[in-house]
Amino acid sequence: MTSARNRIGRYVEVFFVLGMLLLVTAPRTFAQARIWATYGTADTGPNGPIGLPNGVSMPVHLWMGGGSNPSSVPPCRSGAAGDEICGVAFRLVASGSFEIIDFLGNPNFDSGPSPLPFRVTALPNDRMGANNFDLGVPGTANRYLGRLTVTGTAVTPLSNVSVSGKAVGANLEMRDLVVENVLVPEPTLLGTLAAGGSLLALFSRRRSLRP
Amino acid sequence: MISRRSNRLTLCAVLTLIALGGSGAVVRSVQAASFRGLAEGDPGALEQVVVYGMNAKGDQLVGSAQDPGAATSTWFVYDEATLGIQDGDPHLPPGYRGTARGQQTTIDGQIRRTVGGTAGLAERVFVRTQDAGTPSDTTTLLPAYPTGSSAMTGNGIGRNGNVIGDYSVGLVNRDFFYEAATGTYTAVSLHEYNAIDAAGDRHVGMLRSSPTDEAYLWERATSSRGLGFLPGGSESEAHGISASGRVVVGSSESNTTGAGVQEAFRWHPDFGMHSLEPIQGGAQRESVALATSDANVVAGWYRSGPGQTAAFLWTPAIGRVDLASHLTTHYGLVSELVGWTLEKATHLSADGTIIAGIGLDPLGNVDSWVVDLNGPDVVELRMRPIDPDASPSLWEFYLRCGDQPVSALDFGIIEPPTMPALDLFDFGGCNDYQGGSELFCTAAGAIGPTVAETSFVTLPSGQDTGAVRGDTLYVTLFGQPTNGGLLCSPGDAEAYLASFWIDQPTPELMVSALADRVGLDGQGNELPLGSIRLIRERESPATEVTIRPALDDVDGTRFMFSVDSDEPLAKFSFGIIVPPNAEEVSFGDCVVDLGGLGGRGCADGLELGSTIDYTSVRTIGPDSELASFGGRTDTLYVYFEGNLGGPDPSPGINVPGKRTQLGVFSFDTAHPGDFGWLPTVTFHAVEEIDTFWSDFQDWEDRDLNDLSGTVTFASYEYGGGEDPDTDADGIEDADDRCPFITSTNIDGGTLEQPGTVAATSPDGIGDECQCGDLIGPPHYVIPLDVDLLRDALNDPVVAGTIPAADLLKCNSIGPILDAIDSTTQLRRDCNANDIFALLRGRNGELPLVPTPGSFPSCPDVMTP
Repeated sequence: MTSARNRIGRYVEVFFVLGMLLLVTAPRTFAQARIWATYGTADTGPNGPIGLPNGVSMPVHLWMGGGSNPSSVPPCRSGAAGDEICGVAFRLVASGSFEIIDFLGNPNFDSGPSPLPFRVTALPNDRMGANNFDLGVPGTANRYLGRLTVTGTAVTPLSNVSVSGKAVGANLEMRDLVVENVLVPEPTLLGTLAAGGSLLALFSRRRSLRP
Repeated sequence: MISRRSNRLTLCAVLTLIALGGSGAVVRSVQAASFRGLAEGDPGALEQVVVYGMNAKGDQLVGSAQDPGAATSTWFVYDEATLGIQDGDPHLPPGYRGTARGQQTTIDGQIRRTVGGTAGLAERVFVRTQDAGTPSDTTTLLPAYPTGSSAMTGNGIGRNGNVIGDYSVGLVNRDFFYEAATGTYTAVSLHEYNAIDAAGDRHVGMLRSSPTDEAYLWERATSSRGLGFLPGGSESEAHGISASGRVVVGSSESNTTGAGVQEAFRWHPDFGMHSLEPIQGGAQRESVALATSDANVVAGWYRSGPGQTAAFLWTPAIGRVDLASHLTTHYGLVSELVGWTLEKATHLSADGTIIAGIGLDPLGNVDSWVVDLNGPDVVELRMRPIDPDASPSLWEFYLRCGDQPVSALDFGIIEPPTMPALDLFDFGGCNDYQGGSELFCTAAGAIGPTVAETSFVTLPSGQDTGAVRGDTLYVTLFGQPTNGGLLCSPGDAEAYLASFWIDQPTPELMVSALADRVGLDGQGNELPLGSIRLIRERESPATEVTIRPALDDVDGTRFMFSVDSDEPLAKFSFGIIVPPNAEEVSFGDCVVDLGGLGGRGCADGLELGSTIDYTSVRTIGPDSELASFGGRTDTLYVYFEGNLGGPDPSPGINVPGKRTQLGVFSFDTAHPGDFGWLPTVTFHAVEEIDTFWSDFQDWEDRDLNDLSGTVTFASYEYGGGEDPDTDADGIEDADDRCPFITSTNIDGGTLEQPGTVAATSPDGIGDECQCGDLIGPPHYVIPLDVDLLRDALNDPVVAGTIPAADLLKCNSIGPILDAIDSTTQLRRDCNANDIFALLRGRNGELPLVPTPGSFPSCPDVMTP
């Protein structure tokens, strides 16, 4: 029993050392870059998709973050290893009954002396692409991308707006944006729809069970 | 034609000599240069300096030298800016000392790489990296290769960090190519590598293949081509490659040298291999070419006697000449070269104006030397308008000394042709208000504190005597005794000389033919003609025409004309006052015969356009009929027109904000180089001629807005040499976004030079040619290029419309991956980070053209 515990202890010790070695030798990994939406202009962080009420053309606000570790040298240069984002090229895809109406890019996204405006392209099938770059000195704070207007008439449970794309990292490396939904139907609406659906199904079943 | 011209020249030479009556007129060189031995310096400095490498700019040399204090060898860096040598060994790890073998920099000097070999603890390859904007420079040792290698050294490096070198394992010696991006070595038996281009993409040497050894060109480690042999030869070897990787030089057996004797060759992708003519007056063919520029200049050595070699220089214009003799004859480097033996010319800058080599100094010691054909800083005389709009007749004169003190100065001021004779003026309080030719100076003359006295000469109208003109005020200024007799000294701020008023606008400056000199230095010696620059400053909006001796000018008859304008010029005219005894004048391909038969080689309306894309050139005069238009009878008026029927906007004749070369003006005369016969730019009467002859117009921009009255001033320089235009695309290197690549090739779909292997990754050469210039002309990045790329990021349909060859020019970061991005459909690794680099390089300014030399076009082209 004692020797078995010692063996286990040695295993734990070996795994601990190996783990530490892995930690020490592992290449620097960046936090994932992602885009999220908020109802208001204040950033509430990447807390998952927000809900879109039915029947309105509602403006929401898009944000982006890449992590909080700053570079030890000026970012957007060869050798910088922080989480700053130097540029972004993203694509929004609306599905179901959602439709993208407009995107108004943050005119101050570029912190350089002559801010570069967003380049926005409307694409077929309820999609859009946008890109911009920060030619100044970006920090690690979350970045406001701009105002997105989406309409969600006749919402179905499968409606959403998803985001994908690339970010230019502090070392000018290309980083994948997390592919995720930024907008889904409002939960209460979904609940109502679900409840309604259940009632319809139950009503239908009861009708079918009648002799 | 040649015979007839020669006869005329001979006749005129005799007549002119009779006319001069032995007056002492001498032929002067119009070029200046400097020569320096690298070991010259303070006692205790490095000795036995041997240059092994020079960067494409020619501003830094590297090699090895003896440190007399430590009694060991060390590697060094010689900086042209400071004329100083720095000991490199302190940068190596402890226990090592080194020999530097090669260096490269980006055009703007922001990124610098030095390579060499170490001794001491081990014989390894060291690479020193100096990048502006990074916290510190680094010196690293490349990994040992192969395992067990006993000695390695690096012999050349590209800006991308690629290295050529050699190693030995036991008795095996082999050359290697090291690719920095992947950290891999390639070493193939029988390959010998001698030189690498500035980018690091191409290297040259020899492929041993018994019974023949052949000069070879390699494209990285992936492709190669044999360069062949001179006729009758079966052995050749490449020793040098131009900065662009376009031109190769070396030596080959030939049927004129016989077996075992090498003769210098030059290999060009368009022309193949050809020999270089033997030195004039001799039959010495044994020679080796070691270095070549991109501008038709080759250097090397030839057999000057039993057991002796001498450095040679070759250009198409002058052939192959003994370098020391050439420097003495055409650059006046006499005292500088006394005691020196220039044994071999080993390195050239990309523009061919800086030459380095090895020889014996006056004490008989081995030393390296460097020649700068650009010469020292010249004297600048500036005529500056005080208030060009309100008072176009008021001017001030200023003087900057350059590298030498000036005790006297001579120049001429030409008045417009519409006045009958030089009439009313006031120079520094001296005037001819009384009329006639007698001058009066007021007691309180408006002269600068260093000016002691002035003298003037004017001739009555119509009494020109050869080069001395009746419409010109000839001025001589002398230095103030209280200032050591000097008008100015080296290092002085710009010296105010005098105020000037004339009763009509737009006087023009010229070298004084009357005084037969341009001035005197501090010892009373005559300043050489090429040492002065006369500048009439421009007003805004700025357009400046410059005349400088052409690079291949050897007798003062060939001059390069450039225009620098903020305006996008579509129609532009100026005049060139022709030397009085010129027999034939030409501008570009347009030749005007001024002899008895007359004749004009370019008829009115004939499109020439050989020097400028989409441009026609027309000329009028010199002609007595010009007087009826108010023009000068002694002037060749030149009219440029951009191709207004071409692309919209018209490419015009220039790139706004850049000095654009218009072409070479040359003349035949019995007295080439004779004093005062240099051409002078004039805008006099251009508008008058436009009024009378509709085919000849003055100035319009590309929207056909009349620029008359705004483009009024020229400047001209007699000295300093022509700025290089390596790729001969009409845009000088300093302003050229693609200094080593003819931009017109880009639109032809060829990324680099036709006939050579195209670069497969960003190499720092070509700049926008490889990173962003999608739409052209113009051949530089404009906002439309960037907008198109940004649209392509958003829209796969747009991305699909961009040709793959153009997408090659998008990539500025990292190797090119020939794959299609699943999201954007962009190929060739054209990504958002590349566009970021493009944008940051220009900081969003419009147009997206960086200030020359301020930052590279693609700041991250060297990022692995």
